Amino acid sequence: MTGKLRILVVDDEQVILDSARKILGSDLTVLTAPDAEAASQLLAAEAPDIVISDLVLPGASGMKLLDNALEHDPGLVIILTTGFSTVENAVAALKHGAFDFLPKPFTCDELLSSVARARRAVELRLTLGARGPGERGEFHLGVQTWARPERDGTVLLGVTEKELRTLERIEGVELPEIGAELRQGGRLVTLLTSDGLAHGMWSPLGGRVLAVNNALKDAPELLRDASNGARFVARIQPSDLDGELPNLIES
Amino acid sequence: MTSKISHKLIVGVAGVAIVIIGVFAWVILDSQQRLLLSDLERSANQLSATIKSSTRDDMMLNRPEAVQGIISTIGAQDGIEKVRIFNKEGRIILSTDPEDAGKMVDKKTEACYVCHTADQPLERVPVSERVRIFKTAQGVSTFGIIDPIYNEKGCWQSSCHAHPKSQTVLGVLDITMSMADVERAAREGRARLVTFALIAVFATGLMIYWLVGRVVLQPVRRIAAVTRKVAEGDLSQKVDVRTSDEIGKLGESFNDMMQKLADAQRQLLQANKLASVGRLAAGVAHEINNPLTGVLTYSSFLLKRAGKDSELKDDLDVIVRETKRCREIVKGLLDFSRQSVSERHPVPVNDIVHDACRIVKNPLSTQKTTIVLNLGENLPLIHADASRMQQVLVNLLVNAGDAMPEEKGGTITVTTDLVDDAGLGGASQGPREAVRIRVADTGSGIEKKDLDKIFEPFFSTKGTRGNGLGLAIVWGIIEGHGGRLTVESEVGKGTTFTILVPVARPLTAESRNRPLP
Ligand code: HEC
Ligand SMILES: Nc1ncnc2c1ncn2[C@@H]1O[C@H](COP(=O)(O)OP(=O)(O)OP(=O)(O)O)[C@@H](O)[C@H]1O
Ligand SMILES: [Mg+2]
Repeated sequence: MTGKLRILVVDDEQVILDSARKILGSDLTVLTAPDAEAASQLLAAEAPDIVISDLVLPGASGMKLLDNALEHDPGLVIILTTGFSTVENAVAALKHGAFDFLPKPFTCDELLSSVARARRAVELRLTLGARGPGERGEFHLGVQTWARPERDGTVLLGVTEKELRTLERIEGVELPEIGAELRQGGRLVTLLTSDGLAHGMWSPLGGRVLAVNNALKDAPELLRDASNGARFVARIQPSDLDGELPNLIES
Repeated sequence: MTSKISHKLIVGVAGVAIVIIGVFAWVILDSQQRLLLSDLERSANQLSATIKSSTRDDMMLNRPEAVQGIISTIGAQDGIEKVRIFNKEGRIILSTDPEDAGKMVDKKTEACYVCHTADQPLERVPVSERVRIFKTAQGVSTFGIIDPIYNEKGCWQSSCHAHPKSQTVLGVLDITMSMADVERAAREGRARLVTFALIAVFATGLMIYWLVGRVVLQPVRRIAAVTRKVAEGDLSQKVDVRTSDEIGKLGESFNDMMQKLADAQRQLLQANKLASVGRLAAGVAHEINNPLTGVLTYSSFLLKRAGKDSELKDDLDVIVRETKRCREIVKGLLDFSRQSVSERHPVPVNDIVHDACRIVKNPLSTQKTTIVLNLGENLPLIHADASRMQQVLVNLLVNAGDAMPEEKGGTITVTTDLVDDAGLGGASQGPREAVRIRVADTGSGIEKKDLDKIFEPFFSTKGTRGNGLGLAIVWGIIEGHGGRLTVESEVGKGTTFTILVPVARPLTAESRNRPLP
């Protein structure tokens, strides 16, 4: 890879394009497009490595743009931004092959976290579409998190191996509280990495937290340890398993 | 329509009255007639007896002129038409009417056929058969009575004229009397009676008209008037119930219905308000998110770059913090707009209460507020979305905690029990029961004027500490469960929120008594 990575930001709000350029401009080549049509042209002409796009765009939906772009270049790393009201759509977007989504309004750090992981994904040439080495019986939210239904009706949740590869050394975890209610597409866990970023991970399912993997508090890097069964983040009692599983990718 | 009912009623009742009064009149007229006739009969009988006894001696002595004299004297009396004596051959031997003298009749005439119908003529016939009523050639109603003159010792022993001893009937005394007087009396009686009957029918009709108007029509009109007002949209109308009869009951159930309707409308209104606020919230959130993103990214970016410049850093901190607060408000709005009740399962209500209490326990204990649980045992499961119901209780508990006096704190009592379904939407499924959850606090209470507003989105008395969405969300969730939420409050004493949630399965008497498998 020579030179800077190129990122295309698509949003109908100028202020968001400007702030993206300001925040990301120092490390990346930032291209911007105000609508789906301009975005398509730039995609074809400039072949960016990363795309950040709003789900709701004038012209065509971000989802459509996502489908078209991925068809053209399956290796493209796409981050979708979205208002809260379309969290469900965002979950669907992850199923369609988006790398991450950022609920608006987001902070500078949240944007940096997502973009940092996207850059790693590009550098590692993580192919998002292909099935990962996930275990049978696992359900994935995009490439980010997994859910594994257990026999007793509870579900284990964790972060995928692919996602972990995009992270620097993990130095801390912010686990959910026992008894808390998680929502599909809501926050599952926050991972603090050595580059000073905090990476929020989206929960693949909604439900009540029954237990958390407390071992991670002292040894966050255990999360990567595929050899033992301690990779999980939390065990939940799902609230609507049948309704939410179809939004996930079965491995 | 009401006038038609009254017409029908009046016509019906008047018809019945006419028939009854008519039958009465007829019976009375008939018996009156009988009375008159029997009077007539009796006096005629007496008359004939008198004639017979007074003429007996003259007959015996065969003095027809003397007999004729007596008969004429009697026959001259008022009302007596004719007095005739027939002999056995049918000859009129004596009569008050000189023209009749010597006329012959046969056994078929009215004076004779009473006895001469059968082969063997009758010797004696009762009075009732001896009388007859007929019309003369002049069309005058006439009453006749015959009195047979029997053979007796003096007659057959008499030398003058021979009546053989074997003869039983010597002749017949026939008296006819005009019935003009009797008929006039009857006519007058009938006229009086008919007049009376007509008056009675008319009076009954009037009375019924009045009664129907007063007892049926007026109340029905009152109800109808209220109904019209209601139809025009005024749901506050009430029927003035004055009686405890069926119409009073009708009025009562009408009022009851109005109450339910008003309740339903209020709930509908609230639900509609919530729905439109939900849509509004989603729209506002979407619009506001973009500028908010600009502010948040810029300010957090600047904050990052501010480095050690502490004064600038502090200012930027404020901006980022406040923008994040905006983000939370928008998030709350969206949560509210999305508050669908997703998955309902049979769940134990007391578990939900316990979980909710666990969540609020810490913050409440720092406020010196204690929670007292008063949970019913063996309650049936409720059909509910557990996490939503928990959200409801947490909201109510937090509000109760907020209402407590700052220093002193207070007590929150949570009660669960089973009650008869008080009109929860399920009438078609027979008798149902509901679980009642009450959250009672000893806090500040809510002013009357605010009671109607507390469920409205954005109504809050807590300034920046409250968004006023808590109870709106609670309402929406309970609504989504087909439940009921009510509040009672007294300023200075405290507030009680009451929730009714349908039980998981309708319990019939049968299924309850059946042993569990
Ligand atoms: C009270 C009943 C009675 C009445 C009224 C009566 N009869 Fe007789 N009649 C008898 C009886 C009884 C006999 C048979 C015995 C007798 O001869 O006395 C009889 C016999 C006779 C006989 C003779 C026998 C015969 O059958 O031929 C004649 C004629 C007769 N009646 C004519 C009349 C005539 C005419 C009248 C009407 C003016 C009349 N009767 C009214 C009772 C009656
Ligand atoms: N238990 C209570 N005692 C007294 N007042 C109450 C009680 N519960 C609610 N209220 C009144 O009703 C208002 C609305 O309550 P609601 O929960 O909807 O909003 P909030 O508590 O002000 O804000 P939010 O719950 O969104 O943070 C409150 O501001 C308060 O005035
Ligand atoms: Mg509240």
